Amino acid sequence: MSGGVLGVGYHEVWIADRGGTRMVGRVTGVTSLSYDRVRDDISRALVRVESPDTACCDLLAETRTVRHEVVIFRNGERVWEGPITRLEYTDDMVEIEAQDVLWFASRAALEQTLDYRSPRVTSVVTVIGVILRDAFGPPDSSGFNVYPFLTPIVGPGDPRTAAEYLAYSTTVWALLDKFAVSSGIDYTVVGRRILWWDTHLRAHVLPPLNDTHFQESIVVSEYGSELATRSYVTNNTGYASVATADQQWTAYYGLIDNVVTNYEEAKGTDAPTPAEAEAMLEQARRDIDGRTPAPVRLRLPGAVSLAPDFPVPFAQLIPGAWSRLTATRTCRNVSQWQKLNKVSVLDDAGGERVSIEMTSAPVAAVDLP
Amino acid sequence: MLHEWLRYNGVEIANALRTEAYVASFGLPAFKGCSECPSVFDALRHEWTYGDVARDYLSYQEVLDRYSDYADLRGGASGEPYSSPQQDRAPWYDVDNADTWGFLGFYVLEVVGLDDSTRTATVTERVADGASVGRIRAKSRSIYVRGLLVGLDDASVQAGMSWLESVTSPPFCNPLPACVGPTLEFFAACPVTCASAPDCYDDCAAPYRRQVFDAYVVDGPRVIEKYTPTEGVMWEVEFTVVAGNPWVYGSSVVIYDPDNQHVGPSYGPFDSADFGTDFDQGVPRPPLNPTPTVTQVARGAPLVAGVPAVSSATSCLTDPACPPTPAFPGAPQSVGVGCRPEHTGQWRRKTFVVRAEQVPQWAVAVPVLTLELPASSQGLRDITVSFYQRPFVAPASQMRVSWLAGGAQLQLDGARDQIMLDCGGDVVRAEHAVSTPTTPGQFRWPLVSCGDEWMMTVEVPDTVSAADFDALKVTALLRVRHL
Repeated sequence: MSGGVLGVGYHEVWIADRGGTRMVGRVTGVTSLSYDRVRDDISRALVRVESPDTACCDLLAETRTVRHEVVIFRNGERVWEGPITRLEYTDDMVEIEAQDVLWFASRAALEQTLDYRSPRVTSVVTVIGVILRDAFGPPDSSGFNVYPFLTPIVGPGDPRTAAEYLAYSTTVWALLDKFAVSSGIDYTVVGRRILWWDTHLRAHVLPPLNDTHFQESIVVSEYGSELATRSYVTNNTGYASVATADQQWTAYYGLIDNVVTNYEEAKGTDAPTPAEAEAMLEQARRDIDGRTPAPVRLRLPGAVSLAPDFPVPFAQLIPGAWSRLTATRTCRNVSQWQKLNKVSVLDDAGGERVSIEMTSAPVAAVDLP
Repeated sequence: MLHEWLRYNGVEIANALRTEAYVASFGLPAFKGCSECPSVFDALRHEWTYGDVARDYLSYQEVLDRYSDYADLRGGASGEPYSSPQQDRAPWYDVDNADTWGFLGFYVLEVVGLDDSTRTATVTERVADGASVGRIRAKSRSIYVRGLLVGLDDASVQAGMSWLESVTSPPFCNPLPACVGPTLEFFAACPVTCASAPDCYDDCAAPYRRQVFDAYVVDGPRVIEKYTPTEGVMWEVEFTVVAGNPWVYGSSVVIYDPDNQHVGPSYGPFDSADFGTDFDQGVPRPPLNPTPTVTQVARGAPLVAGVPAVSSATSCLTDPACPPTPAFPGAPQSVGVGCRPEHTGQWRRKTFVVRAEQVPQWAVAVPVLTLELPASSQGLRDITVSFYQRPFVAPASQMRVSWLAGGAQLQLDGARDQIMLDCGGDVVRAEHAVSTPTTPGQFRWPLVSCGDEWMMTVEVPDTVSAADFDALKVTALLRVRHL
């Protein structure tokens, strides 16, 4: 498969004009390079050229932030790209920092009011498509060249919103990120492609992983503080929807409550409409899903380097992907679905190091039909 | 282990018996009578004569392929003692480089790391008595090799050093299967002499053959001392091999194979005539062209008809009852056309021959090219320079110049790793103007090597007139990278 063995990647860095189609020049003399792919955030790349030949660094001298982009190739394949957001020159070093194409969305105001209050309750996946299409065209007069690569993944149980979002109240990316925090959405960027989907949707499944695929030990933890057998979602006006765990768990643990504020639904002292109450109940159910029994998590201690024979090609290391992770060398052997949270690549004189971070996946998974 | 003979990635890199014979034949006294294991010669001769077929089931062609370095045993095959690098076609022998004729071999003095276990474990002392022993694992095997490069003079030993550096940099001219690392081979102990009883190989020599897999030279070769005795020259060198696979394997033993129920030398002996001097016989060879020919072709088309090897591993792995999951959408590889579409029609091509004697056997060479247009030219787009190695089926490397203006001179200097554009006296860096046609993010200089004949082509879109193409002045040089 494409991508090759991890740890032996060959990188090239190019400067491209805005849009990534016209290459301005290849950056030579790179001494270190790092980039990542992250779930629910904007990823970054950092390129260093130390001791550049000042008489021959026209390309670096003429590069400009925002107008120009960094395009990183790994073994000939585009793996990361985005606008340059910082250029720093000293007498013995040039440093280029770039952020992925969602940076454009972080600087795009929400230009229209979106009203999804009852009866216009709508899928969040659809709403994100609306705001991203507004930001990136067409017509794409800004030349960001992101519109063709907007990739929503629609599942059978996508979360819904019954909220109103006022024009000029936020930026497109801030609203997207808010959906990730409070509405159960995952999003990520690979190359120029922006992907988003329901956090419970097992859209991308990697092969099963175990201790042998990592260069450090897997950690197994049980978190009693996160346990709850009853979950309240309130709009802070004296109303709440409540979900309770199965009777076997309330009998085993007793009633352990968790109170969650649904800020989006807060509207003065209004009682929630039936649709809003249903949305709050859905949120309560989602909350209780992951809290009973006490969460046991497999954890990679920080960014863990991957074994070179890691069974996933680099091209498919996409944050948000699911994998069944099994710890067999710990006292308590656990097998659990995990989500890829972050992929980091560092390439310097010491060679290429690929590391990943994973987090527990939701208990209630939804598969694509 | 017996350090008198080592083979790395299929190439004999040390053979004490051979070096002693050469030293003696040239009248250098230094090593006479030092070898303690003449039976290595018999074991190797047997192996070459019969192939290791009894245990590896190689076809005749596979034997040829595996023992393409048969030169390391040529002296043995003829039944004569080793006589000279030139006559025996020693592993380092290069007909086009006379300095290799006076190199007499790498004589190993010390090998450390092949006799030990690599077992390791973390031990944590307990609060009370004793300790907890962590998981026991075999770590990588580190092998240190030290020896002497022996030659008639400095130039010979320098050539030997270039050869040793090249053959310890796999897959130098000796391609490895995908995902398979190089192998280090040696004898665990001196095999029992087999000369009088060739069929005893299985019992007397095979038990001592050893192999270490995924073995990469990670440090050196490095010169640590230079000696100049009364006759000849010796450099003491060292290098370190790290084997990712930590275990030392012996020969395999046949349990059952329906196609090869024999045990023994049923495939041999081969007639010496079977081993022609030119393995390339039958491969079409283009005529030498003192002046480049101009043809019209698809870009990167084969110079000689043939089918490039295509791996079918992916299709072999697919169970038709369990079709693979469709790939999740990843990073887009095509993000749109830049400022103009690329030419997609036919191409005009000029072909230049790089003669075998210009190509180093035990080093690589990089091109230094100059492309120049007269001021009267309207300029050329998409100039593609390709390098083909025999059998000239697919380009080994390609470079694409997006635009060259009239009156401009572009120098592509692989030795200095720079591309300079001279626009009427204003010289600037121009790396941005050159890319690789199919994978724009993977620019690498062509590496010309292996002593083969190569071809260089220059192509432009066929929308360019023949006269405009002829106006493109191409100057091509090769710079050899010795170390």
